[in-house]
Amino acid sequence: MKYVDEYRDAELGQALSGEILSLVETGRHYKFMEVCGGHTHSIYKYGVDDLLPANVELVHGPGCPVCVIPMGRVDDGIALAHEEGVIFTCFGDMMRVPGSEGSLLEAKAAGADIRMVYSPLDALRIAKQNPDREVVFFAIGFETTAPSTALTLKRARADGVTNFSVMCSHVTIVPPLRALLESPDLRLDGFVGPGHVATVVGARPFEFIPADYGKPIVVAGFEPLDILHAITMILRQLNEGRCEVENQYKRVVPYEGNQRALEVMAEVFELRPHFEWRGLGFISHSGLKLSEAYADLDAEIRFSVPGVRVADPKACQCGEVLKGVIKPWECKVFGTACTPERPIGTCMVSSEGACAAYYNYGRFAREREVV
Amino acid sequence: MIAERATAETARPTCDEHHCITCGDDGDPMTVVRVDPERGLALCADEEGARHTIETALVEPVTPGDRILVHAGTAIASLPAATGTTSEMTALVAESESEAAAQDVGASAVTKASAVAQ
Repeated sequence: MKYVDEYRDAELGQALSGEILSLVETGRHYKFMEVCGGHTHSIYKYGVDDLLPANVELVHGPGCPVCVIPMGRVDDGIALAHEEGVIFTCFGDMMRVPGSEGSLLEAKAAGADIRMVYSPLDALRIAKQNPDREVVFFAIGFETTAPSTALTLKRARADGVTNFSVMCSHVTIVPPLRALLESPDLRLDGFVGPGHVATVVGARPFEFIPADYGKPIVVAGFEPLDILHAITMILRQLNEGRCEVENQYKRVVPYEGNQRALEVMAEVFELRPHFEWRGLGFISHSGLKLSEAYADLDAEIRFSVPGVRVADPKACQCGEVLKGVIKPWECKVFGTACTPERPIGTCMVSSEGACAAYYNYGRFAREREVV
Repeated sequence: MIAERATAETARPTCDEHHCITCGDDGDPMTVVRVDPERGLALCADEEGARHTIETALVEPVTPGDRILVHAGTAIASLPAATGTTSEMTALVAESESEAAAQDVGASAVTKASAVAQ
């Protein structure tokens, strides 16, 4: 585990924690958003929060692809799963996301053939093994996951698999970030950028954040020391009056991204005019659908999908949590009516959701200890 | 209540303990064991030694022994080999400290950390 251990070293963590302390100004409150759900998960799992001074606050962004799927989309998936002869496949956490009348897991219990897969390739394999059935893959995720779906669609085409289709709910990271930055109730000093999205798209697409909004962003890895190191880099930018995109995760992220992944995505997908995000509403050009060339593999064209729109539950404050306006435990139903076992909002469903991560790792320590 | 939660957790379809690798924008470091160039696939071993069939079109060419970063069954990046010498993180922190000293932002991080610890 050498490759991992070196990024979890306690002494180095203390050193970085001390450096952060030396870089912050007394009396100033810093708010940094970690864009990615994977960062949120690491922060809680390793207690990164506890290594920060009390005046450095981490705000959890919209970077969980499960959190952002609206109820109506789940209802559409369930409707598809109930179609005659369909095997509906999706990632694990997606099965628990509540729609307006239950989740995919409950639909499975009610008799629909819904199967969890670890990759789109698994779904394609199921299609090959069941030529007399229609296999639909519910594709979710940011640009990290989209190339995998795109390659699977190309493979389905190359292998002549006709009983496979995709319900595409992939989203892109830049439009929601722009929407968040336009939000008047958001106050942020900088961003910890999404490391694995950047592996695909590169660090360049984030240049609009310093250029248009005057905020620094540091693309970071997912180990605790990566996150601490990224925070020192943001603080140093602020102290030096710099504002730019920096890449802490150079061991994996090329500044220009993975060109082959971008090419295959451009071939297979096109942008939707708009896509609905839970808690954030409709955001222009923020979702992907299959391109004309792959329309025959689009489940939404192949089947009759209701296309319902359902308002978020009133008690749920996922929107405010996603925007970083409130902390998870400040939501009225956090930990009471809404728990990982009985989620109301999607932030509590996925392990990467801010509420579930907080519930699992920090429920009893809401007041930060001063370092 | 505890029993209810335990039952719910058992029924919960996650990929890993309290964590969904696919949904979490996670990258899983793996080592290439065998390559099937005809099909664009490779047999790879994760850090625990479990074998997986991985799509390698985005990082080709790969050869046995290469380290790759895998997300949702697809390799999205090549990884540098683990060298066994001074870790990258140690070097980065040392670099950080020297920058901090050069910019006169205070005593070195290690000194600060010691002070905090006390």
